[in-house]
Amino acid sequence: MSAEPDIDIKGLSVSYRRYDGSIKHAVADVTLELFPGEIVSIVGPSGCGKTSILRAVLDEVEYKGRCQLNVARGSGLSYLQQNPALLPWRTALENAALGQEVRGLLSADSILKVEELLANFELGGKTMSMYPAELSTGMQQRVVLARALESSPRVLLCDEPFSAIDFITRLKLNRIFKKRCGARVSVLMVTHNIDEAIFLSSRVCVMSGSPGRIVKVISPVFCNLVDDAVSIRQEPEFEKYFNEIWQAMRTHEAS
Amino acid sequence: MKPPEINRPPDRSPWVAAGIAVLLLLAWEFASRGSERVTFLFSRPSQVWDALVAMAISGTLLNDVGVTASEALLGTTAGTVLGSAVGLALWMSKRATRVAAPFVVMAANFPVFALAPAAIVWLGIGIGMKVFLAAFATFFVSLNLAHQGAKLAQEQFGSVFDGFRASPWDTYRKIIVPGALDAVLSSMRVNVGLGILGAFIGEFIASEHGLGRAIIRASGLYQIDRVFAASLCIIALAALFDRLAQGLQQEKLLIARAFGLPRRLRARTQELASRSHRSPPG
Repeated sequence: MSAEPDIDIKGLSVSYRRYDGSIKHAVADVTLELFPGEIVSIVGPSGCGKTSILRAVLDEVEYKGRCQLNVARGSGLSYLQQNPALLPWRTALENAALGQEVRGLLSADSILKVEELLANFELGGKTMSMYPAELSTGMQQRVVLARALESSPRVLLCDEPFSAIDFITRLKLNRIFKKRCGARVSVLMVTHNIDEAIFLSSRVCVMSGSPGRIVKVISPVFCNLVDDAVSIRQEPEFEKYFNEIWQAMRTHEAS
Repeated sequence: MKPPEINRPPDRSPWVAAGIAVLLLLAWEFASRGSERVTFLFSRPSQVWDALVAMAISGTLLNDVGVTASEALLGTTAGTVLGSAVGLALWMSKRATRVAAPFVVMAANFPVFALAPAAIVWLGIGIGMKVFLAAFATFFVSLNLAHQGAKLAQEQFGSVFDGFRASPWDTYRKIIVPGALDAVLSSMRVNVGLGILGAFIGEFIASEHGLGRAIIRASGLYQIDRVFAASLCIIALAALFDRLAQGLQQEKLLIARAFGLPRRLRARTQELASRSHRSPPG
């Protein structure tokens, strides 16, 4: 690993003020580094502050501690939100090409590249000229995924990127995602799915319940196999990783 | 795309409504036939119809409808377009919005009637004065709704554009304006009634033609049948304008696509759509 991390988080704490005025400590003392080309997953119970970490990186919330992003915002960074925010008056293709369009890079060639990417995500042919309202949630999520990857960002922040996608497509997308990100994109990903985290990541950070702290870090070795999240279940190490993560989650569910 | 046919029992509500209307008209007719006093105060459907026919034959009805319709249409369109433009422009500066807010609240609640004398001095008693009053009555509704729509569009889609580091101008024309279109078109439907009311008030104050003028004259002479006949025309006019606004609302996707969508992308989408035998989006 090179010395300089793309994301450098040290002693990060995030608190929110509730409507009744009391303070909710969402994240407490999280330290995490994301090195170039790595995929790091954060797993943990709902509401443990996983998304708050991403929002701190994006500077969308106030936080204490260090939370440094070492790439240029804009073309260097993509953020994949939990809910697919597609423009309803634009077709799948027009939505996916948005990044290029805004950066002034639109050309016949670049449009073809976006089309290829969409076809990779099984959104080829007539699907490309459909409006979001005509697509299923899973398809919309794939358009959002294509939109985020189309710009070839150096750092990708994902919040449950595959959550609304059906199981079989999810496996395929995991594989494409892993291949496309390869060693070129550094990914910080929030997920509920332990299988997926083990399959995709070079490190899995397990968070405790609210306030969220990182209670365990596991480094699966599957990160170089290009297969899918089901077939790695056959591997002997899989069960070990799964149990470690599961135990950590169970023990620290509420803290 | 046509949605698949679903077997549903036919909707009978229009017939029920029509039936109730016929019963009410009959009750009105026969109640007033029995009493001179009721006829004097409320007229009766057959008399209203006769008045309508008489006004139509004399040619004044068509003229009055045309005058009021053009005043309301011009005023409502001007008020909606200008109000929306200002409301959308306020998205660009939070500070300007905060400074403008108390003025907008004051001006929006200024009674249109109170403005009429000044409007006569500024614009005379011709059509300009009525258009101005109709525009004033509709301007602030569009301003407020368009501004709300712009804020909502920012909330829904803003983070995507922030992620791309888009310029404010790109954000404005590619998501704020098309994203707020829904709100603008809704404001137009609210404005249909307000615009006609604004034109009516203008005619009420000073005019030579128009349905408002006809109503004033008839009510001064206690010709209740003519008052109702002209009122019916105003209702019909409002219904017609509402249909037009509804028609625009149904085309909102196509209208939104006119804002900030590069020609090259649009052409490509059309090409892809025609290749897969879908009706091409505009």
